[in-house]
This record gives sequence, structure tokens and C-alpha cells, in this order.
Amino acid sequence: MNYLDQAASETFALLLVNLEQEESRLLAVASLLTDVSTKGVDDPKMRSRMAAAEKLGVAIAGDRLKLLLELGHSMNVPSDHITLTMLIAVAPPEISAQLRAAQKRLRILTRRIQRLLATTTVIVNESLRLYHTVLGGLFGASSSDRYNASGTQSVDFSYGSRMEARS
Amino acid sequence: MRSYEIGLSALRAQQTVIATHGHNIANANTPGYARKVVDLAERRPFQSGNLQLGNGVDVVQIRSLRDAAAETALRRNSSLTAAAEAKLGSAQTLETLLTPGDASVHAYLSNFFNDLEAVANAPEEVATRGELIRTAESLLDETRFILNSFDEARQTAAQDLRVGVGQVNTLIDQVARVNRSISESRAAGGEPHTLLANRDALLSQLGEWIDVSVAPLDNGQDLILLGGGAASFGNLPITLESTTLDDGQLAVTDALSRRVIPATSGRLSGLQDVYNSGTADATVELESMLRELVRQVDQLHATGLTSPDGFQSLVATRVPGSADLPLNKAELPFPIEQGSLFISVTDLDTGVRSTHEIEIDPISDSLKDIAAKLDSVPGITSFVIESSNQLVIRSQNNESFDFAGRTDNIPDRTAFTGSAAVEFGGNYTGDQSGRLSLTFTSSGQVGVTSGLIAEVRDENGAYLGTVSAGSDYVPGQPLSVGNGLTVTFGAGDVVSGDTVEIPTIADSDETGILSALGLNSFFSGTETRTFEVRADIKANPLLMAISGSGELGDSTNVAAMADLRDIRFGSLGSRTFVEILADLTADTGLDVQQLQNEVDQLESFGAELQAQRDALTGVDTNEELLRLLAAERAFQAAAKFVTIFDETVVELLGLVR
Repeated sequence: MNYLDQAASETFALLLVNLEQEESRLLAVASLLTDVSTKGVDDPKMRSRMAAAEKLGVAIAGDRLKLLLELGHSMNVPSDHITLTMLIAVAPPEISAQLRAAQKRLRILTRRIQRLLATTTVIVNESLRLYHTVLGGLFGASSSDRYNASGTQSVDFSYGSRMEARS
Repeated sequence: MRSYEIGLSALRAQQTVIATHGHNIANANTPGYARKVVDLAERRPFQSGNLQLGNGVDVVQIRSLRDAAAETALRRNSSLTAAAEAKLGSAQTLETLLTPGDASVHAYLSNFFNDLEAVANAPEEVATRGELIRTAESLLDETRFILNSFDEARQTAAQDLRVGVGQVNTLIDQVARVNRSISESRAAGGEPHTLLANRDALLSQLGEWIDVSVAPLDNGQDLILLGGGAASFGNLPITLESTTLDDGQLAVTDALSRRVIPATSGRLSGLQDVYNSGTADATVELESMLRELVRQVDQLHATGLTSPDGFQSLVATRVPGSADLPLNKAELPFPIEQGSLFISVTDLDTGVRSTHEIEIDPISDSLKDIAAKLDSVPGITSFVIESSNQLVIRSQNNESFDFAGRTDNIPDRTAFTGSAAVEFGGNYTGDQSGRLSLTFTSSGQVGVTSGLIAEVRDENGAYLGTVSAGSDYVPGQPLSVGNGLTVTFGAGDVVSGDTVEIPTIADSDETGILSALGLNSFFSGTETRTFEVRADIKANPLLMAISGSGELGDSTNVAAMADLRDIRFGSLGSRTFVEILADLTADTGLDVQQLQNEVDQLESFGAELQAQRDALTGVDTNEELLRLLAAERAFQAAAKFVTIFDETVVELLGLVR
């Protein structure tokens, strides 16, 4: 087994930190998605929580991309092809064990998040549809039979847009 | 599986929230609708190791934001407002009818007295009398118009009450049906917000007619109390009806139990007040005024004269229901009091006039008794026409009669032994009926003997003065003996102690029987709606008895009628005719002002109550729409977040392989 050099060891250490940050963020997002399902979106804090999670995600993903680019270069592999299994194989033994543990936690977490996302997506889209129906009924908007690119039915809010502008 | 249930519970909750917002907006203008809010509760979290996982959401309840106290206050307010408005409408009608003006009853009453004065000032002018008659007719017409308008207002109130009771019965039916549905719904374990809102709306309508309140029972049913609890119903309706009670008052009663439901507020209460007291009081006042005016004018007219000769025949224009019953039970238009009636009989050949007193007791005397008493007067025939109960008085031979209370011209000479003629004249103006005596204190020749005087005394022997018939007196010259009376001595002798006596009559009819029977009255008719100026006087104004003596130029009787303007009558609460009209106008004006203030205050308070209730229960459509739009925006943001995060997860899944 070919171990990477000392410089790469530091990158591995930084990657472990990044994965821990991602794990924390995923836990926060899991909580957020649960709240969307159980408490709805009425709470004004919900939107700032989403915005914060999104912003944090962009930063963590950006950092991770840099680390993976460095490691990919050392391993002569494109960054988007790198997997933790590959890194575990080439990482120093103490780091490898930590990476394996992180991989295990992240797998569980991402699968749980995936399920939550599926549920939340249904709830959000269905709720949106309900709101569109009610608002359409109230404002006389017509709903098209056709689905748009995002997979939702388009609704013409000729009056709703005015209310939107005012809100 | 759990995540599916979580999602489903969330969707159900969202659906309920959205539907509730939509329902609120849709019912924003529904009377009585109370805004609804959804209470959500997070299900107990699921513990997974160290993690607490969400477990979905439940709709705990949909609350209708109701305020029972505000609803009750509003119903009460609306009930009181409706009652005050009903009374205000009637009071405004009264005020309009009684507003002084050129063609008002005030003006006609004033003109009537002015015209009486004008006739008194120019008794010989027939045109002035014609003007008086026209004014009197206008006064009667206007008073009649007002009274008829009062009647119409009362009948309208009675009709409105009947219609209102019908509407109340319809509302009671509807409320009872809703009550039944509410009971069924509660029995099934639910709180029927929509039904309660519907019932509130119905109770609000009901409250405008009658005071209504809701008393919840332990069994989940609600008892609706009407008229402060005098009637009640729950799931089974009751029927109300408008009833005229024995005392003539209009009331609302329970059709089944016949119990009177005291309406203390609501339009029914206002309409009852209008019928029972509103116009009734004004009607009584105005009728009292007119009846007293007719009675007083007729009484004076009956004791007046058209010529010195008096009358040879009079026929009563007012008749009792029975000629055999005592007068106080004979249903005459004006009351008759116990007292004396003085009738003067004049021998047209000799000119000798004699006064006869008839005692009348309305408790024991019937019309036939009166006729018999009159018939016993020398020179008079009197009887009652059987078919019409009209009293007829006729003079016999060449005699005439009158009730003017003129002094006997030829005195009682029973205690007079001298040869000198003694004759009285003038009209007695004193205020006590009785007898007047003249007694010579010495003997001698009238107009010759020096110091020949006679003392004047009243019936009690009280000294009133002296008249001199001595050497400075020219026989045949009238001498004043006071109180409007004169005495004239003819040539001849008198003996000391010679005494003559005449009756003095302050009031020739102490009983009021002349006006009650319409004998030589100015007006005909028996009640306010039928009073008219006597037809023969209208045809010939010279028949007006304007004189007290019958002499040409004497208008003392019509002047006395004009003086009625300033007399305060006990029957009118010590007020003059003008004052009673002024009071009536002021009272109605005050009523209108008070009721208007009451309505204004109630409406203002009602608006406050409405605002208070709406702040809690009312639907602000903008607010509801903004909530919907804000939620929609939030879900759109959530959708975007989910999409973005989904990409992150895909990336992570690639990494953790």
C-alpha cells in the first residue's frame, strides 16, 4: 500500500475537520427538515435557519473541494472521482481509522437526510400546490394543466402578483 | 414508514391551516362569523440513540375566536337600539304634527281666540262671525287630522308588531333547528363552530326584535331566553303572538301558555310603547284639550242670548244613551255636577221676567227627571223624545225662556206695601249666587221726599250700600246697586221697611248640563272626532249667542269666550289651552331629542362593541391573505432549499462511497 507524503497528511487532517463540520451541518439540517415537516414554515426563524445552513454548506463544500483537488493531484485522480474508500486506502493508518469512522457516520446521516428530504419535498411541494389552489381560488387565477420544468403546475397569479408586491 | 406518517401528518396540518385561512376569507362578510385559528402540536419526539427524532404534527383543535360577553353585549345593544329607533320614528311623526306654524293647530287655536275677540269688538259685523266659524272649523279639522294621524301611527305600530312577531317566530324556528344540530354535534363530541356562528347571526337578528340571551345547560343544549326569561326554547320552537289585553294594551304573548312576555328591549318593545303610551299620551292630552275647549265654549254659548227675547224652543243636540238612567251613568259627552240650573221665563206681553231654580243631582236624576222638573216651571213645557232621547224645552203661550241668568226685572214685592214701581236691570257680575234686597229706611214720595233712601243688603243681611230715591231723584232713572245691577223707581210712595228682593245668579248653570246636552251650544257632536260647528249657526251666524243681555251691541258673552284663552283649567292640569299645546309640542320635541341622543349613544357604543368583537373575532381579509402569501413564500424558499440541499447530499453520497 502506498502511503502519501507528509504534506498530504496535513490535507487529510484538514479533510477530517471538514467532514466533522459537514456532519454538524447535516445534523442541523436534519433538525431543520424535521421542523419543516412538523412545524411548517410559519416561524420567521425557519427561513434564516435555511439561509444559514445553505451559506455554511457552500463554505464547507468550497473548502472540501480545495482539499480534494490537492489530494486528487497527489493521487493523480480527478477530484470528483475521489471517494472516502479510496482515501482510507492511501491515508496514514491513524488517519485512515478516523476517516473510516467519519465515513460510517456520514453514510448513516446522509441516508437519513435523504429520507427526510424525500418527505420534506413532498410536503413542501404539496403545500405549495395547496396554497396555489387556495390563492388561485381567491384571486381567480387559472391553473394550467401543463407541468413546468420544475415539475409543478404553473399558476397565473394576475392578482396574486400585486399582493406579492405589496407583501 | 415513520417518515411517511410524519409527512402525512404535516400535510394534513398544512391543509387544515390553509383551509382555515381560506374559510376565514370566504366568510369575511358573513354576519356573525368568528375568525378561526388552528392549534398545532408537535407529536412526542422519537428517541433514536442519542438523537431525538421528530414524529410529525397533529391538529389539536380549530378554535373559533368567540367572545360570549361581547356577543351578549352586542345583542343587548342592538336590541335597545332597535327599541329606541322604533320609538324615535313615532316621536318624530308626533313632533312634525305638532310643530307650530301658519297652518298648525297652535295657529288655529290662537286665531280662534283672536276671532272671538274680533266678534266681541264688532258684534254687529256678520263677516267677522263668519271668519270665527271658519277658524273654528279649521281648528277642529286640524285637531282631528292630528288625532287621526296619532291613530294611524298606533295602528301602524300594531301592524308592525304583528309582522314583527311573525318574523320573530320564523327566527325562533330557525334557531331551534340550529340548536338541534348543535346538540347533535356536541353529542358526537365536536364543537360546531359554524353552527354556533350561524346561531349567533340568527340571535343577532332576533335580538333586534326582542331581548334575547343564551343559557347553556349541563346536557350540552342551549336554552334561548326571551323577554328576560318569560319565555324560553331550546331545540323545540315556541310561537309568539301579538295580543290586545283586556285593558286595551298591546302585548306579546306565548301562544301556548298565553303568558305575557314583557319586552324590555328590541323593536317589539318599541312598537308596544308606541301603541300603548307613545301616541296614546299625546292623544289623551289633545283630546282633553279639545273636549274642554268645546265644553267651555258651549257652556258659555248656552248661557248667552241672540236677542233680548230669549228662546221659545230648544232641542238638545247631544243625547244620553238612556233617558231613564241617572245622568252620571247616561253616557253623556261631558260630566254633569250636582247644583242648580236657573231658567228665566219672560212674558213677552208684559216683559216681566222671572227666574226659576232647578236642583239637579246627576246621581239620582235621569234625563226624564230633568224634563219633569223643567216642565214644572210656569210657562215652560219640557219632555224627552222617546225615539231619540232628545230633551225638548218649549215656552208656553207668548212666553220665552233663556239660561242667561239675567236678573228678574220685577222683584218680589211680598214685603212692599208702597205704590211706587220698582224695576231691576243689568246683568249680575258677582261671583256668589243668592238674593239681593232693598229696604226703605223711611216713608215718603219717590223723587219728592227728602232723604228717602233704601239700603241694599245681600241674602245674609250684610250691608252693601244705599240708593237715594229722595228729592234729588228723577223717577225712572236707573240707579246702580253694584255688581252690574241697576234699580229704577217709579213715582209713588214707599213705606219705611218696604222691601223688594231679587235673585242674583252668578252662574246660571252650575251643573254643566246645558253643554252636556248641547242646548244652544256652539258646537255639535259628542266626541273629538265628531265635533263640528253647529250646522244652523254655520248657515246663519246671527244665531251665535254673543250677548249676555240680548241687547244690541252687547257682546259680553263672546268676550267671556275669548277670555277662556287665559284661564287655567283644573281638568287640564291647571294649564291654559295654549299652554297644553305648547307643553305637548315641547314634550314631543324633548322626547325626540332624548330618543335621538339615546339612539346616537347606543349606536356609538354598538360601534365600539363591534370593533372590540371584530378585533378578536372579525376577519381581516388583508391579514389573512398576507398570511397565506407569506406562507406560500416560505414554502417556496423551503422548496429552493430542499433542491439545493438535495444536490449537496448527492455530492456527499458520492464522497462517502
